[in-house]
Parts: sequence; structure tokens; C-alpha cells
Amino acid sequence: MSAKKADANGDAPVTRPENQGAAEKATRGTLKYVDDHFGSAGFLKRSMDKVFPDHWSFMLGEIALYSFVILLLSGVYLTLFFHASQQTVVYNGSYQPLRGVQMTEAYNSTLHISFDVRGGLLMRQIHHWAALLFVTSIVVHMFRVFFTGAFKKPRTINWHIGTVLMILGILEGFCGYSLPDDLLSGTGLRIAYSVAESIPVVGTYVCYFLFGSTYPGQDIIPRLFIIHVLLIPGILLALIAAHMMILWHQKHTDFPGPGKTEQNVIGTKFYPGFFLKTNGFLFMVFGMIAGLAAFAQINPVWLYGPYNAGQVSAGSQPDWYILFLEGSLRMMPNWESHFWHHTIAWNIFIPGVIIPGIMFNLLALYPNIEAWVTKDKGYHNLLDRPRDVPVRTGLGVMSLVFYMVLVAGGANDILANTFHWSLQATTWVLRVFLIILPPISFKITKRICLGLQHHDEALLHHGVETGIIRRLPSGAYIEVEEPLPAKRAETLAKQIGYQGHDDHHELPAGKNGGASKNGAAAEANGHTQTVTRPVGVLAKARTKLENFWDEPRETVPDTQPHPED
Amino acid sequence: MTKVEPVTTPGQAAETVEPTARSGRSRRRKIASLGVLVAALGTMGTLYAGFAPAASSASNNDPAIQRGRELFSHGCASCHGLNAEGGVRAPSLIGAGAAAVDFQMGTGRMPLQQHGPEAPRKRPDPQFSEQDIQDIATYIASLGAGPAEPEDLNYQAADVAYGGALFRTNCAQCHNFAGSGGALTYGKYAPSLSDATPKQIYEAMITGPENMPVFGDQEISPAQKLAIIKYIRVIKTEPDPGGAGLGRVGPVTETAVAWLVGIGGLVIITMWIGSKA
Amino acid sequence: MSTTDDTPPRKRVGRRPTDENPATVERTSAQNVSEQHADSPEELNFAELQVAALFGVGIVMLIFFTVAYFAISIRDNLGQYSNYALGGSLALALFAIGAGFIVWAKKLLPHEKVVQERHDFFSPEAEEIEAENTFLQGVDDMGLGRHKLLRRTLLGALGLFPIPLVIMLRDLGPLPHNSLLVTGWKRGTRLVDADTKLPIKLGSIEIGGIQTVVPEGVEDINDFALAPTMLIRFGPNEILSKKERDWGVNDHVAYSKICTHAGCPISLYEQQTHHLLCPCHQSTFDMSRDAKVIFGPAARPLPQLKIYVDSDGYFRAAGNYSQAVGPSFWERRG
Repeated sequence: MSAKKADANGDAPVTRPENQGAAEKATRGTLKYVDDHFGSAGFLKRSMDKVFPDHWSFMLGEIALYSFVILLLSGVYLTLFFHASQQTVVYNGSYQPLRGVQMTEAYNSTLHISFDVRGGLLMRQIHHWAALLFVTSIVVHMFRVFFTGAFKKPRTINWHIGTVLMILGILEGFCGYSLPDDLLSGTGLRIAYSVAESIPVVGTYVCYFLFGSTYPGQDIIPRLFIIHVLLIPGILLALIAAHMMILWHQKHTDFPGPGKTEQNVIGTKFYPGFFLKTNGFLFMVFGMIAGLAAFAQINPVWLYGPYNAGQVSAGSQPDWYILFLEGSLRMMPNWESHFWHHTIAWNIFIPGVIIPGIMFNLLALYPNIEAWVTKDKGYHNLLDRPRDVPVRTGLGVMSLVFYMVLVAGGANDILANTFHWSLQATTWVLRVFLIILPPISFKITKRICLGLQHHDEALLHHGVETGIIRRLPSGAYIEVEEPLPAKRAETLAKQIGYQGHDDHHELPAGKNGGASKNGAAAEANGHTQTVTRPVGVLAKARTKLENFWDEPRETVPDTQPHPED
Repeated sequence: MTKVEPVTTPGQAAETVEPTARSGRSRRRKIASLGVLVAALGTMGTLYAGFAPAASSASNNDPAIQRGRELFSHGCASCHGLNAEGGVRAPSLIGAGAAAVDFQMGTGRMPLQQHGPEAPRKRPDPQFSEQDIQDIATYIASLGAGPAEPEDLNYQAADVAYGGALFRTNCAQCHNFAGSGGALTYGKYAPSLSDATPKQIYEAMITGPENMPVFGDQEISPAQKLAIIKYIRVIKTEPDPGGAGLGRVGPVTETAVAWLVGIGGLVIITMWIGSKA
Repeated sequence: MSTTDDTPPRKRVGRRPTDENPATVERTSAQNVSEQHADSPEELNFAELQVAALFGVGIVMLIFFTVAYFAISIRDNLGQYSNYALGGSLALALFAIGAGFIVWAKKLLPHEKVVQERHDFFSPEAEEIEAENTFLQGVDDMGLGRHKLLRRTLLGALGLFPIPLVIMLRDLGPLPHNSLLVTGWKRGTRLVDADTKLPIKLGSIEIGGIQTVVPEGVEDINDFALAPTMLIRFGPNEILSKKERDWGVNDHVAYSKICTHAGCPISLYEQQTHHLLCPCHQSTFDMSRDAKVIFGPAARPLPQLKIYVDSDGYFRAAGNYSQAVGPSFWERRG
């Protein structure tokens, strides 16, 4: 057996120690038992040695992962009590203001969980807060990945998986939100039905097959239930596993810095350092969600009342991740076409189907579009700083502003009521904002990025302005500039030296700064050998886009030696 | 002035007749309907008996009317006209009834401070005492028949669940599911009901202040009104069992908490974890 | 590992494995670059105390949770105390345990910074080509290129395979036919209050009043979700449309409560302006002008229900709505 364990380097054979305590013996025995069956020792060793970089922003995705764990646990608990049925019953539980009211079994059992199961309300609130944090953390995680360019090759497919995870998370959330069959969620379902109904040609068929009849029917809650507890969670689980395995296989990206290159990872080993931290974080995410569930009430279905097709409440809003759809529905002009005895409801179809379709597709395909425009086919392990890729950062901020105006539109009545604005004026202002704010924010963001770049270069090449003014013998005044501390200068040089897309440009002086690039990206870029004149509309468009992208970087004339030289 | 009797509400009727009747939907409905009918008819009679003569027999010699007219001419006539006939800026108050006066002045909406889409609720003008408001109400009531002020609103005995159903059908669309208020068109809004007294809620329903629809006693019987008031009071005073109520306006404030407290807090934790020891 | 001479040169991009940078670097174990900072024993002791205290808080809180579960009634204050106690103790316990782990990792573990080489993301070219060849060889062995008939029937069979899966979904629901026109209203149906189910007499609604009504005989409103209707009473001469007046009775008019935009029940009625607002997407209708859309995403006015008053003074529908109620759909006749 010891021969099998011999180190690949051919050093002296490794043997087990002679004197083993009971615990050690048991541990070694277990590991050996597992290895004897799976041959897992090599994998285990490599996995425990795997290095994870330490930056805080790399933990955002973990929030989503741990929220998902909580969703599974609390969700299983809730299914033990929840009855997914639209049978009508009369409430007889302990919440007085609804006693004697006619409602569906789904709503009845939700009230039962809330008021007659000890800790049931807590569990419901944990589940709902975890759902909000799940989608929210996915979105925040995507911000990080987007603005640092972590989606670039070879991680593009993982970005696609991540986008699908986000969309599924939104769908899953909407299904779960609809299950209690309260007045608010029923209103949401009613709107969802109308959106499906608006699809040209097949809309009504889609609705009837989904709902089993005209709205609301008797089937939608049981069907949503199985989608919510089995179908989507199953797909989510599989995709999360794939997402994590790809991450594990490809290793994490890292920000440029001293000692960091395209070929290495610097950080903490998975075991024990990262293992302890991530477990601690798991518990703290649990704790945060439990804390919210204890002290902040969410989805008080007993106040909404049971669903009734003749009732509605002012301020009917969905959970936040659907709010952008609500906003686009609210801000849409009232277009509708009638022809040959048919109707197309553009006022629902465009904001409810086309706009989210375009948004999600652009989001998913962004890495491919960027790679196509920049002709960047290299491998990337070091991240971009947002300021170093002004066009991408600008596009990101622009999309974000567009999205946020939609979200604000979804809450226009709450905004109007809170600030005593006119509802109609609020909507009009948001309509105008939706058109003009995105391009303006693109311009401003790009300008800020270029300014920051300029500032960095000035800092690196001229040092920090001390504010001390000195008079030269010639009579001229100069401000004394102090060079940056060595470590800071090195980091900055690395950061400036590393840019995702300036392969065509000369790098600022500094061999070290360029090393990461020359070592990987520049060498990786074969396109310098295949320069061709653009042919065809698509190619011409691409060239135009590339010129737009690669506006030359502003550089500061450099006479000083690079700190590394 | 009329007295709204504490009526046996339909829900209770059902309960006393046969406790298990609640499970039978249609039976309960029938009993409920009957109860409402009886209650409505009974109360209507009382109401008519109450204010019909009061309106006709109002004599100008009543000292309260004299005093009310005096106060009106100082505080209200500049907009509503010397004889409450209305003006360019304000409606006629002939036939508005005492309840409207008590509601508008009792909630501080009148006298109006400035013209806007809607008169906001504010502290009642200190220059008018309770008695002053009553006298003005008596004066206005003497000008033409209108809804009278309710008295002794004994809503405690009403069926809260029945009130809740009525509330969701008739009130929640503007005032929100928990009476937190909501936006209407062009700067108008349905106010929050949290400060409204039972009497004011009752008066609002029978007079339809500003843009609120009128819910007459034949549409929503006095007994039903008491049930609605009971529901509003119960959900106002009941605790939020899940923690802070977040304004009871639905998912919008939950969004803010999820982002600011939830993700915000966790990001701070990640920074702590990522920082050097 | 590098490209061999007998394979044709292929255009490719990406970092190639070189001798200095073998593709198997991942197998080399991680190496420490920065030496461990040995904290003083006092500091380590204090750190251990901190971690132990945090875990201790966890223990206490979990015990508290258990006691609170049984001791605090869920009936008190709607279960508010129970929720605070259970949630609060659970949150504190989890927070403390989590923080314990992190303090442990930060203060008691050796401070190390490990550098690890990355491995290549792609296989050596020879291996890639071999895989391609093996795959193509298999295709060749199967004869997909040669056996035309086989290929076509295979495509046909696989192409038809989804059909059973799809047609099985047919019975998920009925076909729409005309059911989107069914509202529960017929000629002579009495208008009854949505809650009390009592019929409505002329004169029972005050001027400026609004009442939600459903067809008589509808027990569960959710069975007829398109039925809810608003009965509105205007003041004299406030209705500005002749058709609207004609379809109503004595300043009373009935309109569908289901928004023509996305189907929300809509009844935020302003009795002075006669505006009706939808709480979902803020479509605004002018009810004195045939429910004309004056703001928002709704494209069509609300359908009006023609009503009359019978000899007993009760409101009755003169028939079903003359057009489909609620949101638009493809088959709807403009």
C-alpha cells in the first residue's frame, strides 16, 4: 500500500506514523476506507490544497449558495404543512379577523402555518427572506462579475449558466409568491395570465393549458406547487452543481496585484483556512436571514386576505425581482392593434414579453458580444478594474440605470403617495427618464473612468501631490510631488498594466506590468496574424464597434523610471 | 342626531343559531343576508326617525344655529358663501349635513389652508372648539337635509371577519389592504386610516368627502359599517406578529430591507471576513 | 506535449503549453510564499477565549430557543412573542457560531499566503486532435454518411419522438372557444351585491356612490372571475355620453370591474372627477365619458353592461356584455 502512496517526485516513500492516537486512527481509517473504494485520495489532497483568493467581493456568490441551502431546508419544512389545493374551505383557525371567511385550502393552510404552528411564521418568513436574498445576491454577484470582466474566456459558459440560474431564481420566486393564494399574489397571477394571454396567436391556448380553464380555475396552485418544489429546484440544483464544478475546475479569478500573474492564484488554501471562513459565513448568512425573519415582517398574507376576483388593494406590487416587469407594464403607452377580427395587445406584449426577452438575452450573450467586438480570444484569469474598460463599465451602468427606472416605475404609486407627487406626473417623468437617463449615464460613467485612469497614471508617474509649494532659484513655483510608497506603486503598476482589451496598444513602461500580458494574453492572441479587411455588413459593424470600444487610452508623458526598473 | 344601535351582526347571528353553520357556505350566506336585511331595515327606520324631523323643524331661533351661523360667517363664508350657497372655490353646503361638517372640521381638513389636489388631514384648527364645530354642524344641517352625525358607535360587538370582507371589496382598493392609504389620480390620494376615529370613518362613508364615493345606508347598512370600522380598528391595534410592519404597504418596503439590511449587512460581513487579521 | 510535426498546423489562439509551463502544473502542490506570523501565546489564548465565547453564546441561544419553543405561547399577541423569541435566539446563535468560525480562521490559523500555479484550460493539441479523430471515426464506423436511408429514417424517428410528449399536454386544459366571453351575465340577471348577494334596488345607492355587483346566483365569485361589475350613480346631468346614459337607468350605470389592460379588479373611483384608477398599472378612465382611457397603458374603455329596472325596482342586466371583458387576446374581435 505504501508504494501506492509514494510521491510522484520519486522521493523517499511516505509512510503512516507508528504511534497513532484513537482519533487519528479513526480518521485515517475512514479516509483509507473511502479511498479503497473510490481512489479519492489524490482528488482529496488537491482539493484541500486548492487556493482561493481572499477578496471580499468573491464571497457574494456564496450568499446565493447559502440562501439556496436555507430555501431547501425551510421549504421542506413548509411543504409538511402546506396544502396546494384550491378547494374552498371556511377558515376556523386562531386568526380572529378571518374566522368564518371562505378561502382556498392553500390560503387556509398558509394561515395555519402562520398562526397555529409554533415557529411556523418564523419558517415562512425565513423562506421568504431567503428567497429575496437569493435573487438579490445573484444580482449583486453578477454586478461583480460583469464590472470586473470575470465572464471572459474561459468563464463565458459559466456566465451563461449563471444567467439561467438568475432567471430560474426569479421564476421560482414568483411561483412561491403565488402559492399562498392571497389577494396580493392572486392579483399578480391575474397579471401573469394577462401577459400570457397577450401573446399573439397562441396566447389564450397557453393560458388555458397553464391554468386549466379561464382565470383562475382550480388547477394553477397545484401546478405551481409542483413546479415550485420539484421542477425548478431540481434544475437549479443541477445547474448550481455545474456552476460550482466549473468554478472549482477553472479556479477563481483574481484582481491584479503584486506577485499575481495570469498563471497563478494567491490566497488561502481551501482546507483549513477557507473551509473555516466559508462555514462561518454560511452560519452568518443563516443568522442574517433568521434575524430578518424575527424582526421584519414579510408577506403578511393574513392582512391581504384571501384571493377574490372582485377585490384588489391599492399598492399591489410583486416582490422586487418582478418589479421591473411591473414597471415596464406601467410605463408602456397604450398601443393595441385590431385587424381581421384579431387583436394584438402591444401594451402588454411588449413590456411583458419582448422587453424582458431582450434584456435577458442581452445579459446572457454579453460576453460573446464583447469578445466578438474586441476580437479578444485570449484566456483571462486576472480581472479588469472597471475604470480600465470604460465602455463596458459605461454599458453596465447604463443598463443598470435603465433597469432601476423600470423598478421605480413599478413602485410609482408608492413613490407618489409617499412624497405626495402626482401619480400621473411621476409616471411621465419616469417615462422620460427611461429614454434619456441611460445614454447620459453611459457618457458620464465613461468620462469618470477615463478621468480615473488619467489620475492613476499621474499618480504612478508623478507621485502624490503634497501641497508643498517650492520656489525654484529661477523664480518659478513648483509643487513637490512625492513618489508613491513602493508597494502601492507596484500594485498600481500592475493594475494599469493589466487591461483586458488593449492588446493592440503599447503597454505603459514596465516589464513587470506587461509580463502578465505578454505571458498570456498577447501571446494568446492569434489575430495579429490574420488581419483582413472587413467584408460584409456584419464585419463592418464589428469594426465600427471595435473603434468605439478601443478609444485610445489617455496617457501621461512619462519621463520617470518605472518603480520596478 | 341619531343613534346607531348596536345591532346583532350577521356573523353572530349565524353563530348563535348554529355554530357549525360556518362550514356551509350558502347557508351562512343566506342567514347573513337575512341578518343584514333585518339590521338594515331596523336601522334605517331609526335613522329616518332621527334626522328627518330635525331637518324640517330647524328653527332659526335655535341658539346653536344662531351661533353656528355667526361662526360660519367668520370662518367659512369667505369661500362657501354667506349663506353656504357655495362659491367659485368651494362647493355649496346646503344639504351637506352635520356629519360632513363634523368630519371636515374634526379632521382638520377645513378650514382649508391652501388649495391643492386634496385637503390634507391636519390638527383641527384651534380657533374652533368642539362646541363651535357642533354649532356650525347644526347650522349647516338646518339649511337642508343631509347625513347626520352618528352617535354611540358601538362597533365592539360587530363581526370583524365580515367587516374585513366588506373592507376588501369596498375600501382596500384605495386605502390599501391595511388602511395605509394609496395614490389616486393627479396628486390626489386616499389617506391612511390610522388616525381616523370610528366616528370619522363612519362620517366619511355616509358623506363621501371630496372624491371618496358615498356609501349610503342602503348600500352598506349601518351594521355593515360598524363591522368595517371594527375591522379597521382591529387590524390597526393588532400587533405585527412577524416583527416590524414596514409600513404595511407590501413588497416595496420589503425590497428596501432586503437590499439595505440583508445584502448590505452581508457585504459588510464579507468585508470583515476578507480583511487581514 | 507540443504540436507534433506530422499534424497539419492549425490556426488557433490561446496560451499553448510550453516546456516552462507544463499543462500539469496543477498537480504541483501549493507552496507558501509568506512565512507564518507567530502570534504571541497571550494573543492566541485571548483569541481562543473569543472563539469559545462566541460558541458559548451559540450554546446558550440554542438552549433558549428550545425553552422558548415550549414556554412561549403562540396564542399571545398573534404569536409575536414566540416569533421574536425563536427568531431572535436562532439568529443570535447562528451569528455567534458563524462569527466564531471566522474569528478562529482569522486569529488562530497560521497566517499564510499560498501561491498556486494554474493549469491550462485546454488539452494538448495532440490530445484534442485524437479526440476529434476518435469521434469522427465513430461517425464513420456507424456509416451515417454512407447509409442515406438509415440517416433519413433516423432523423424522422427522432424528429417525431417529441410528438407524444407534446400532445400528452393537450389535456392540461380545454380549448378556449368562446369561454372568454362567459361572464355569468344574461338578459334578466339581477345585479346583487358582491358580499351580501342581495339584489339592488333603484335609489339605494347615493349620488356619488359605487357598488361592486355580481350576477345573481353566482356563489363563488372566483368561478366567474370576469363577472365583477361596478354600479355607479352619478349626479343629474353628470354623464356626458348619450350611449352611456342610454345603457344605464336614472344616472346609474354599470361597467365591468375588470381592467381592459391586465385584468385587475379596478374601482378606485373619484366621485367628483369621475376618474377611475387601476391600482395595478394606473390606467385611468373617465367614467362620465364612456369610460374613456385618459391615462396609462389600457387601450380600450371598460365595457358597459346595459341595465334596466324591473317592476319591483331591482336592477337587472339587459344581456351579457356586448364585447369580451378584461384584457385583450388574439381572438378578440376589435
